[in-house]
Amino acid sequence: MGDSNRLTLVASDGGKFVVDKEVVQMSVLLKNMIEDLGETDESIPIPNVTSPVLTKVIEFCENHRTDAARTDGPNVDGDDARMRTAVVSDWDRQFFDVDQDLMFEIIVAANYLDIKSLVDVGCKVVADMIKGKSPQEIRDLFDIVNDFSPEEEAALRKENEWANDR
Amino acid sequence: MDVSSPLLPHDAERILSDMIKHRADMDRRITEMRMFINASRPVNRLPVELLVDIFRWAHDGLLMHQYTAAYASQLERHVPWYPMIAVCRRWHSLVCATPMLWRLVRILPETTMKSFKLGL
Repeated sequence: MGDSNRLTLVASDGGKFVVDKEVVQMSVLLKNMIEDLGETDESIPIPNVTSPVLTKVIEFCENHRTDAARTDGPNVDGDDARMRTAVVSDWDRQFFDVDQDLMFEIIVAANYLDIKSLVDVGCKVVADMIKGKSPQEIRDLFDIVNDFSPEEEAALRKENEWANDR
Repeated sequence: MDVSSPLLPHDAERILSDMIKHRADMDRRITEMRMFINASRPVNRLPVELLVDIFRWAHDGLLMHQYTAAYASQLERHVPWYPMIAVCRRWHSLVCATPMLWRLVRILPETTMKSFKLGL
């Protein structure tokens, strides 16, 4: 019989992670799963998340495990409440100082696992990257190709010139 | 067509018409390829609702898109949908489909009729 306070998560590539239940329960999806399963030694498969991404997600949850005690919990209900409580610390910024592929995979995984605090911090970090940039600078940042025709672009500029000029 | 024979006007019109059609077809395919490339970019793998959240956060840190005094003063300086609307077609569609980002328009005494109409 294993430690009842810990359980094993299995990433999509087979990587196994033994984690405290308290940490895992920051994920609403896993929390519900654990409640449904009851006491069990069975490992929990996370089919949509690879080992490198799951490593980062667990790192975040371990660092923020005490947040639940400080606030109403990391998964505060309601859009407005969430928006107000999401604070990005220096640690969070360093946490997301990774290549863009991994950064967005972490956010997508957090969304799948329903870890709202991680989703919010991730979205806020991305928003800060966008803030104050022109459309072309945003394209350069995210390696997006301009898929408007020159005519469409001109029309867009004209339609929004009042927004630019103010 | 015999290249040594003189080009007749109706032939030239037909060739030009074919070329224009061909160009329009190429433009459409180029746009489709660009959209396909953009869809593969990491940022565009985010679910729609998260991109909208990012747009809201990016709007000068103002998160509650409700008509409050603070929001009104923000609208005076920045509109929440620009520059996101001009990045790519996907973002453009997303902004247009999210009234939360553009349902409020700030009309000031100095707002011209042209700006007012454009804002609407």
